Amino acid sequence: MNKLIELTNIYKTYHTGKIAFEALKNIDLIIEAGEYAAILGPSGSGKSTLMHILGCLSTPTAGSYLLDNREVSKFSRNELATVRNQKIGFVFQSFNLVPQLNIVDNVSLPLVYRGVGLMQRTKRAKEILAQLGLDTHFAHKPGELSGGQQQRAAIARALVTEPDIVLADEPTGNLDTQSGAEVIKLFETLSASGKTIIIITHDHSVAERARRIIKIRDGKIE
Amino acid sequence: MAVSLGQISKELFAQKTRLFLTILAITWGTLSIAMMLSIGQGLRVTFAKAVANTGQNLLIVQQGKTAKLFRGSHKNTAVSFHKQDLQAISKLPDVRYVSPQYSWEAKVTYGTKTNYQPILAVSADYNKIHSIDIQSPGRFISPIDEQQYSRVVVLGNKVLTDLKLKITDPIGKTIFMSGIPFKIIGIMQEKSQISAGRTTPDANTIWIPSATYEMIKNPTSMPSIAITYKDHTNLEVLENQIQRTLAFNHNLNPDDDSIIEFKESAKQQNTFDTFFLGMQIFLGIIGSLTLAVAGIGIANVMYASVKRSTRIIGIRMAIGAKTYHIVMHYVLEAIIATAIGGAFGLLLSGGLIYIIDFIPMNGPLFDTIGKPHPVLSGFVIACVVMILGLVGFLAGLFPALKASRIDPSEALSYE
Repeated sequence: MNKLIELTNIYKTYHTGKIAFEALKNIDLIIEAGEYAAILGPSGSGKSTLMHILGCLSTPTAGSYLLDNREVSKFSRNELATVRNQKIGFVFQSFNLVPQLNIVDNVSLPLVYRGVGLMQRTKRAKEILAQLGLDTHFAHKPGELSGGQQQRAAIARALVTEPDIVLADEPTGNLDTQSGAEVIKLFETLSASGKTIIIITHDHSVAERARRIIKIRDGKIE
Repeated sequence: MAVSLGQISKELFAQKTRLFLTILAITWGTLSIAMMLSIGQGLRVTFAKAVANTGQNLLIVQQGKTAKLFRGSHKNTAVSFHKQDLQAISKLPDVRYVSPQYSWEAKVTYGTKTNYQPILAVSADYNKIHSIDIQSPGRFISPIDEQQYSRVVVLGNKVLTDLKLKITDPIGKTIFMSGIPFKIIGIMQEKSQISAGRTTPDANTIWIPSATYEMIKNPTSMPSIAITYKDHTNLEVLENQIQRTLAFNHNLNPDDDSIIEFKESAKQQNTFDTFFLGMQIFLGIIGSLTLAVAGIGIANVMYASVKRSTRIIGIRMAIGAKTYHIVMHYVLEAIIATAIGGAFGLLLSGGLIYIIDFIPMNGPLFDTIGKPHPVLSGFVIACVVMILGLVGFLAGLFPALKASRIDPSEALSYE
């Protein structure tokens, strides 16, 4: 199989005043293309820090991160932005849609930063929203949608750039059971179509639906 | 540029209170700067016209005294002008119009009213030299009046008031000056004037043909000569030519520059122009400061907006926004708000200037210089747009730079 992600000896240290806190210690992790993995851990275990490093939102204090055979741990801010835009789709617990924009504009936003023209990006956003069953809500703003609908819009935004990896941080955390189940179902469908999916969660029932569980505790993979 | 103006506008317009306050501040700033510049421009134009009404390209030649010995002529001898001097000057290539100026204070009588009035005897070209227009019906002194030594008189528009006379139809009526009857042929149209060279304003002056004066009074010399020179004349060269012409006629030293005195209106015009340009710049600076305060207001609103949007900025970064996307976003927001406020401000200024034109302005100042008309000229608009652009750009730039330095991983956990 093709190694999509290869973390070797990753450390992440935060400094608050004079106190140093090691959020991640000596992490080694390989995730192959097409995997559906869950990173499971209680709060404060370092799973969010790991997700930020995997998602190129921050860089490790030490260690190597090969993403699609490129060493990204020393990339500049703008290089990381490009990597995020091209390779990663994020899904967050609190959806994180821009409240002033309707969902078509929200979903097309990553394509704006990629330089795609208005017509093309709108068409693409509408297509993907339609696939996710939101075709009757194009003009709605996030506040006018239910939690489940908002999360589906957020997933549409994650998928619109056709990323290599979908990174989901507690995607069902703010949803009722039924909407949560629908979202998990959606990830399974995506996984079946060959997309690499990584879910970060503290919820065993969510993690168990993945094909691989990576347990993290006190900044270490167990 | 990979930034969507449409999306930025949508986000901006979704936050109505913020947008309204920002636009209000900029509208007010623009209004003040546009009004200041317009009033400055209005004063400049009004004064320039008032100075020009005394006579554009006007040169007055006055008698002087010799300072150098020459072929038997002595020092300190008064030089007096004669008709042949006037004729010689009129033949110089750069001279367009010439007129003698004999001034005479005479007892003026109409019916039972009597007053001492300044009278100026001039040639038929004098109206062109001094920008004098005549009310209809009526006319200025003509060359025929000069040939026939006509006893005709043209009155400044305030002369009748000076005489405390209310004549409904003055043309053709007779007034007496030192007991000699003259027929009124014209009344000057009202004009603004800043006196250059003479102390009596044209409005209070009585003009008669110089030939008529010469016949009646038989003067020994001409005290001064008024000249209009052609455009693009080198004044120094012309003055030198006049000096040499007169020196030749009077057998004086051609290098003696004290035989005549010159009074140039151009110099005065330049002084006024510089003064009012300075005043306009000063007013412009005051207006700009108001606008700068508005700009600081915008910057503050933008800073607060950046702070509140920290999480959204984190999301934008997570989905691929680079530093310049974030910077452009906030700079464009500020520029859009500034542009809208600026447009409102300019429209309001235009309206206000239109209304100001209907406000009556009276008093001795406005009688002399005329009523100033604030002008929202292309120059003023260009200044305002340039300053607005700068203010908008700076007001957006600093909050935008702050936004672009936000760490995406921290911003995403910001509540």
